Amino acid sequence: MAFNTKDVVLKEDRPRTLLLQKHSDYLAGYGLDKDDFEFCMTEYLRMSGIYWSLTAMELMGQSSRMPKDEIIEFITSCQDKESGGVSASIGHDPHMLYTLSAVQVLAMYDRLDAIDVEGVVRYITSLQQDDGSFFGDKWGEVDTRFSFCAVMALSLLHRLDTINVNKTVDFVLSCMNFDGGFGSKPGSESHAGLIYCCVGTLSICKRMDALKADELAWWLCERQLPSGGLNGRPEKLPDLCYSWWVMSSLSMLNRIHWVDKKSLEEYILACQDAETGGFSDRPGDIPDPFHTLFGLAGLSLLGNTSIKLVNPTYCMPQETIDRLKLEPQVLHI
Amino acid sequence: MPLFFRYAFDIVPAEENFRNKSPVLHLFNCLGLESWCVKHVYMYCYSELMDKYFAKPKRKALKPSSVNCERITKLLNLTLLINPELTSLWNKRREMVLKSFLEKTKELQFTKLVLSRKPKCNDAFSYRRWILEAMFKGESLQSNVINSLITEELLICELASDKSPNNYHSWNHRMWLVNKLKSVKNFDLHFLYIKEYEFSERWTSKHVSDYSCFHYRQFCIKNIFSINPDQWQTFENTVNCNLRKSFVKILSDNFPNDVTIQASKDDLLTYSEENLVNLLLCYTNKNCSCAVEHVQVCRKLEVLFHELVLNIELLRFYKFHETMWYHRRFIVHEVMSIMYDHFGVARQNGVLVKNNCGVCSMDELRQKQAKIVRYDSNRIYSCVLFNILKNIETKFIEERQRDDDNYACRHEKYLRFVEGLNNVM
Repeated sequence: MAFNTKDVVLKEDRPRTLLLQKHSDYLAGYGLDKDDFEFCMTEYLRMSGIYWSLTAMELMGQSSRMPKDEIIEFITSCQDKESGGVSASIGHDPHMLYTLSAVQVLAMYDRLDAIDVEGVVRYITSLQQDDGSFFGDKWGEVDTRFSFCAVMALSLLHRLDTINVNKTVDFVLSCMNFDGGFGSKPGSESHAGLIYCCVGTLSICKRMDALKADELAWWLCERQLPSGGLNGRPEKLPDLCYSWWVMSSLSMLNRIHWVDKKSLEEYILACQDAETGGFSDRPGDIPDPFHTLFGLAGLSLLGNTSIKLVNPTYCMPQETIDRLKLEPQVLHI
Repeated sequence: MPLFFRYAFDIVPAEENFRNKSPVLHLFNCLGLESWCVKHVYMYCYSELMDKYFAKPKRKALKPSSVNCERITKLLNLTLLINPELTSLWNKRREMVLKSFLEKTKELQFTKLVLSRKPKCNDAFSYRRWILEAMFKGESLQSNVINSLITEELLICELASDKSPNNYHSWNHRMWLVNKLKSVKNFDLHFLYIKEYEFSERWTSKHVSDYSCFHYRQFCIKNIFSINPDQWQTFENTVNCNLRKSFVKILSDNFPNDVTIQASKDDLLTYSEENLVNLLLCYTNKNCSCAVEHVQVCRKLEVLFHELVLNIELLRFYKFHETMWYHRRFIVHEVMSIMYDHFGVARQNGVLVKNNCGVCSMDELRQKQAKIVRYDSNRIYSCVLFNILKNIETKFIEERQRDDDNYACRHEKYLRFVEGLNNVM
């Protein structure tokens, strides 16, 4: 069977230890050249980029290397006065995705006062639809990712009461498939990233009981490939970010021991770039802050103690979640 | 597809401008941009857009007007062709459509160009949905216009699905389109269901590692469950297969070793739907007073067993593909659901419980016993249909294991521990 499995082979000379200092240097130096072509190409997701980098730095205990004041000022200037939503960068349109990233960053900095919280609440509540779903912005695209953004941001602001939580849950459950997984819309294919969003929504709304836990965990465990890495859907290549999306979901389902942790850890470590620092999707590819965060967060879930404890629902340091007195649900059966 | 039929854009690798010629290439309907100039073009267009038209605060930004709309459109076109993930730029186009500075049909053409290079770009699909929603809603479209829009949309999905395997967005978009047409008047939805069923059969048989198309196939199968009885003949003619004959064949090949129900293939072909369903489901009544829809149940089973036969053929031919085994789980799950439904039970948290009939309330008395009694589950596991399914699965798992397909073993475990058949296999 092996000749047919789409997978990668880990090389003998791959990194086998965690190169923390390299990763910290990599993130500290990332995107300093603002006239750079790459910088302009990725400006449309800048706010999330800041969240990925800062969270990774927090997990390594090195967040002091990030330009805190500059970041906070940037976030303030990205809030749209009218709608209350936050955009990815100055001049771009507000969107649910970047509103969440902004709230997460400010929550980690304990500086939620830097934005108009009422505006954020107004923005998110205005995007909920009659069926409980959420638009991503005023143009009306629906996706379970946006449901997760809404409940996560509002819970970080302690304002979950401003939306219809029951309907939110009902909509997410309407996206469940026979295999126990979830897609982006009702009837859409199961996808590990969207499963994380839906399980996370239920974890925050404390409705983990509504999941088909065994079916779902079974499907999630089958994402592990011979290399140890995880894919996000059947017959796809492994990708480091799924070590977060699959493992955090299994963690909320309390079934993390269903995968082979040792080979997964080897895969994650092999995705490090030993020269530049940072993690990539697969061994040998170019690293980026997105995969760097999910590599570190994945290792934290696997119990690596040189990284701070990460919360599986929020993908933020557990200490932040504790400080905010949030208790996302984990399944106990 | 021949080049001259195709609208396409791509960046053509060329490291230097050594010929001192225009970097814009043009052949038939295809447009190319030499890679050496991409950075310069992008930085130029993106900067002008951001500085002038996306400036902050908003009051300082220039609004699209008849004076500048041509300029903005050019800048947006180039920037989005190079980087189609820029949601805010798509939004600017939406604003311009609302103000009639951009024309909807031309916008559909532009997104087609974007998708020719980036077939996984959800922003482009999302923009098409927005345009099409507006077209379906705003104007009372003539049916030939609707039909040509649909043909074009299905073609774009097909090109994108072909160019990028497991394309989540193109298959999602296709499902959105079919669902959207439910609310469009003057449209023969059931005929589309049939055409899409046929299309997905062809496509899945050629893309056996692409679960996204199998997921779409499952959507098509469920749609076929809902077609009008009077269109069944059209359906059978279109798929060009005698479903009853094929159903009866797989049944008679796998009858349990029980002399009392031996029936030859020829005998079974003479059965009415009612007799066939009664034979398969052991003449048991449902727990409620609703009449069994024999024809409906029989046709669902015909479709599902046809799918099972196709799956067996594909797995034998292509071997060792997780995707096809996953699709088989769906088929088994659907057949089991028909049985559970027939016997008035449902699976919850891994155990069978009595199911409330949503239609009548005659089963209230029985509902008082919350957990299912052994008698009810025995009825399911002793019925002919279950035993036929069990025989098919057991034989097929053994056959594939002999061929060293490790997924066969996984399938057996799945049936035992996830589908809940551990005690009866």
